[in-house]
Amino acid sequence: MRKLHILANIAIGAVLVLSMTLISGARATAAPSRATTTISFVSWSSTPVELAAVKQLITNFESKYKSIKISYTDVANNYQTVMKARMVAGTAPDVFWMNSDYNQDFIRTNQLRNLDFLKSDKTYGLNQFYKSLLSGYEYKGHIYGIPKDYSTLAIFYNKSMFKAAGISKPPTTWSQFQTDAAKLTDKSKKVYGAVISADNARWLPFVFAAGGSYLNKSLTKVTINSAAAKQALDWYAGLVQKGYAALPSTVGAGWNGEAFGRENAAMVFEGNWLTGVMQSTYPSVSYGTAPLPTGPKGAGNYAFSSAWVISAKTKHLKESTQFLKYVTGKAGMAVWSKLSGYIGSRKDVKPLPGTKVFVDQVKHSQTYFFPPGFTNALSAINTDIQKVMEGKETSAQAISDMATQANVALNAP
Amino acid sequence: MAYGGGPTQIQPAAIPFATRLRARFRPRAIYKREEMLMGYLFILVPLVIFFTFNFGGMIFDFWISFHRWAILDTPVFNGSRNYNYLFNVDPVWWTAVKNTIKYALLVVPIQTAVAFTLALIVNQNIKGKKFFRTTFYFPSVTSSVAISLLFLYLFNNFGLVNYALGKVQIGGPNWLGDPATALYSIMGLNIWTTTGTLMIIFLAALQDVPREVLEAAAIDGATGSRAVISIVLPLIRPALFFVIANGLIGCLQIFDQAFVLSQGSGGPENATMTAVLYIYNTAFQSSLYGVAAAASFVLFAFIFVATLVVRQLLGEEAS
Repeated sequence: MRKLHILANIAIGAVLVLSMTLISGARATAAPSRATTTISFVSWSSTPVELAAVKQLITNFESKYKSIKISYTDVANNYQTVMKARMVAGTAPDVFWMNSDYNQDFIRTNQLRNLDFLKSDKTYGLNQFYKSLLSGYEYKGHIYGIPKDYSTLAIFYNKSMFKAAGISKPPTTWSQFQTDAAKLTDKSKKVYGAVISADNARWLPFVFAAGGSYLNKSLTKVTINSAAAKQALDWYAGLVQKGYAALPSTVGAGWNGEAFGRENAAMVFEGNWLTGVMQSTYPSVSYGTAPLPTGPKGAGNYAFSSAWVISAKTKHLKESTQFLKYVTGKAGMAVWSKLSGYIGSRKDVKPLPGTKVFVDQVKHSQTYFFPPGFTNALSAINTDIQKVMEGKETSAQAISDMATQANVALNAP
Repeated sequence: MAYGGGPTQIQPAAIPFATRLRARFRPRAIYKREEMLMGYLFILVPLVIFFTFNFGGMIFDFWISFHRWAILDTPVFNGSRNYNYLFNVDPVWWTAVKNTIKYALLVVPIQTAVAFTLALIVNQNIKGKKFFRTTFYFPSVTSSVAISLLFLYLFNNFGLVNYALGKVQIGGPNWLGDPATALYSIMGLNIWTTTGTLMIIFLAALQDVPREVLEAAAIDGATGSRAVISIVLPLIRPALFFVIANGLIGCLQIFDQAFVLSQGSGGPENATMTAVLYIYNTAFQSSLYGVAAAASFVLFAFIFVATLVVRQLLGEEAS
C-alpha cells in the first residue's frame, strides 16, 4: 500500500512538471514571426479624455510606421513609485512620461537618456520648444526630456456672479482682486469671492510677481526669505483672514476647481485642466478666464508641464526615438493638442481657441521644478500658508520656517 | 492560579519511580522524535519565509538606516547622519511621534472599555442578542480604505454629519479640515471599526467564566460592578492582555485612515501625520530611504518596548 502511495505521488508530480513545460513552451512558440519591433510605453492617465487621446496617438503612429508596435500600459496611481520599482527590477519601459517636479530624481541616477542628439535634427526643430519649459528637464546643460504640453495659471471667474455684483471686468491687480473678492462674498449663500488653496504651486507665482523667488537659478540656494515673499503672503493669506476667500475644505470641496464648479467661489486660480472639468462635470456654469492679477513688480506665473523621456537602458533606441520624434514633432503635437485639449509646448503649434490666456503667460512663467527630495519642503510651505490664514503664525514666522525647511531639504543626508 | 479546569491530580505512588524521575529531568522525552520532526517540517516553509522577508527585511532595514539610498543608486555609507536628521533636524518626525502616541493613548483604553462593555451587554440573555452581536461586529468586516473614503464625505464641512448637527442647532466644526479636530475624527473612525472584533474576543473569554464562580461571589456579597471588576476581569486576563497588546501595536502603526483622510499629506498642518505615514512619505515622496529605514527601526524599538511593558503588567508571568 505504501509503495502504491509513493508511486502515485511521483506520477502526479511528473504530470505537473510536464504540463508546465508544455504550457510555457507553447507560449514561447506563439511569438510573432514578422519583423516588427515592439517598444514599451508607459504613461499615467488622469482623465478618460487623456487616455483616449493617448490611445489614438498610438494608433496614428502604428499606421504610419508599420514595423514598430507599441505596447502601452497606463498607471492610474503612484506613478513615481511604480516607475522606480520597474527601474529597480530592470523592466523600465522604453518610452514614458515624466513630471517636471520630480524628474531630477531620475536624471541624476542615470535613468533617462540624454536627448542632445535631437539638436542636430533640423526637420525636428528643437528650437521651437519654449526655453522655459525645456529647462525643467535639463541637467548640467544636457536635455533629458521633451515637454509634451503645459499650462500656466489664470483667474477663472463666474460671469453671472460678476454681473449680479455689478463688476464689469475681472481684476488686473492685487488690490483690485481684493476689492472684487470682498464685493462677491456672500456667506449666507455659502459663496466666497475666491477659493484659494494653501498650496505652494498656487502661492509662489505671487512671490514672483512681487519680485521674489524660492530658490536661486541653479537650485542651490534658498531665496524665499525676502520682503517680496512676505508681501505676497500678507496679500494671499490676508484674503482668507479678512473673510473674502476660503480654503477648499471650508466649502466642502477637494480642490479649487470643485469649489468653482459648485459655485461656492466667484474666482479661482487654476490651469487649463479646469476647462475640461467644467465642460464635462459643470457645464451649466457661465465663466471666463483672465490673466493672474499683477503684483508690485509685474506678472508672475508657474508653467506646469510633463515630458516624454526615453529610458537610458532601452534596447530599441532607434524605434523609441522615432516614436518620440513623431509625438513631439509639429504634426504629432498638433494632433495631441487637439485630442487632449492641452496646450502644445512648441511655438509652431497653433494653440487651441480659448487657451490664449494661458499661452500669453508663458513669458512670465517659471517652471515647476525642484531638486530631488524637496517634497517635505514643499509640504512645509503648504502648512505655513495655512497657519498664517488661520492666524496661528505671522507671515514673518511662516517665511522663516519655509526657508529653514528648504535648507533642511537641500542638506538632507 | 488555575480556575475550574486544571489537570486532575494523580496519586504520586501510582506512577513508577523511574518514569517520575525521567519526566522531571527530561520532560520532552514524552514526545516521540518522529512527531518533533514532523512538527518542524510543517513550519519549515513559513519559517523560511519569515526569516527571509520579515526577519531578513528587519536586518536589511537596520543596515540601510546607516546609508544614503534613493533606490535607483547604490547605498552610500552615511554613519549616524540619518538618525541625526531624524531627531535633530526634521521637525515633522517629532510631530508624527507626538500624534501617534496621543492616538494610541486615547484609542487603546477607549476601544478596550467600549468593547468590554458591549461584550458584557451581549453576554446577557437579552432579546435580540444575536442581532446586537451582528450589528456591533459589522463595521470590522469593512475595508478600512472604503470606510475612510465614505467618512471623507460624511465629515465634510458641508457633509451629512454637520447637516444633522445643524438640524439640532449645533454648528459642527470642519472635522477633517481643522487641525484641532482632524486627529480626533480619525480616532473616532478607528474606535468604531475595531470595537467589533475586540468585542468578539471578550465575548469568547466571558463565556469561559464559570457560573459557579460568579454564584459563589454573589453569595459572598459581590454583585454588579464589584463582581465585574474584582472577579471577571482577573479571570479574563489573557483576553485583556491580547486586546490591549494588539490594540497598542495596531494603534502605533496607524496608516490607512490617516493616508486616505488627509489624501497622503499628513493632514491640515501635519495634524494627521502619523509615524508610518511619515515613513511612507519620506521613502516614496522624498526618496530618502535611509531616513525612512531609521524611522522604521525607531518605531519598531518603541513598539517592542511598549509591548514588553504591557506584558510585564498583564501577561501570564505576572500572575
